[in-house]
Amino acid sequence: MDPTRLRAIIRSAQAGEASGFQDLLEAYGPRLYGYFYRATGSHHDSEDLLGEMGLRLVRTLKSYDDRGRFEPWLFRIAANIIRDRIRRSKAAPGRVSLSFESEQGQALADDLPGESPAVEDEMLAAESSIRLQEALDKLDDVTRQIILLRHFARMSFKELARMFECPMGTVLARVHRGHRMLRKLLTARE
Amino acid sequence: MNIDDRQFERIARWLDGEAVDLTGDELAAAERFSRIERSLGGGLDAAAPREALSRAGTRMLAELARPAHGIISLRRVARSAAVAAAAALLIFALLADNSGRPTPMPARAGDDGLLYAMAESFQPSIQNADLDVLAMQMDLLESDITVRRRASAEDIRIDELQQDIEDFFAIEPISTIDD
Repeated sequence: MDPTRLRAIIRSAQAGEASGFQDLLEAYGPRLYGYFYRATGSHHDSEDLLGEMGLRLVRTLKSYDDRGRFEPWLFRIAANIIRDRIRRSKAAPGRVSLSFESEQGQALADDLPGESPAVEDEMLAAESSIRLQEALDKLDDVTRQIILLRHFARMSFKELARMFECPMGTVLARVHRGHRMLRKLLTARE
Repeated sequence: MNIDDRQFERIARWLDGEAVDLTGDELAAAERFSRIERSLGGGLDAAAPREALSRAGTRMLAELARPAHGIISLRRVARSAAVAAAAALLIFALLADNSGRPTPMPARAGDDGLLYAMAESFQPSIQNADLDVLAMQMDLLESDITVRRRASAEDIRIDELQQDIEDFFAIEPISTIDD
């Protein structure tokens, strides 16, 4: 998003205007949802967490100082929500998103008129997504968070180093090892 | 290529856009890393259902519409506390003296008439009924401490005996062992 437009939207939201918050949700909602989904593996949890994110945004946006980057600030809140959820639920690590499989798989099967290429591509994409999620679930929490924040929040190594209180080189090393683990897990099933 | 910590640090800075001079091997590692990130990124994206976004928006706007955004207003708390305190005092005053006249003191045997006089002479003010009730109670407590009962015959006899003992020792000095 154009920085000038973003600043205007943030000012509008900070002034309490509903249109400002709606614009923020439209701009960042999909990425936040994707981040929550890849962090939890659950569409149900992702929607719940997105709702929680909206509430926190309303309550804390006034404290945001526009000198810094908005996205790292936004996703730091999202990461805290994830961390709080993990602590609360203490769910088993490596949880598989059965709901995604059943929702998408079943829905696609119902729509199958025949084996058209588009539908087949969708099914392959869905299967790949599930396998990727399974592999992500096998990473340790910190490595998974760093990889997801690099992608969804577009955070720099410097910002991640500050957030996780470690050197930039350590952040890169963790991402690098995470990539190797994912490749190993994804290719092992082929 | 094995990358050590120092090289990871340099490559991370280069990937962040800092002006770092990388060796040939380091540059190759950095570019390979970027390629992997790009290819992985495409797979990480997950489509957000429109309904989920809509419901999140509804919750957000509902929170926005709440007074003070759900944050307790200190001014409101202080106002509520003051109103509650005034109401409590008023109720207390009404319960303690709902007739507008001082509560008659129960008769007790041997009470000094002064106590009765104090209670009966108490004139509550209309404007400060609650304070008047408190003042009356404080007066009664004081009077319990300071008002003496009229001496009974037995009290008089004890006082006379005490005086006799004192007089006896004043006239007849106590003999010492040496005597």
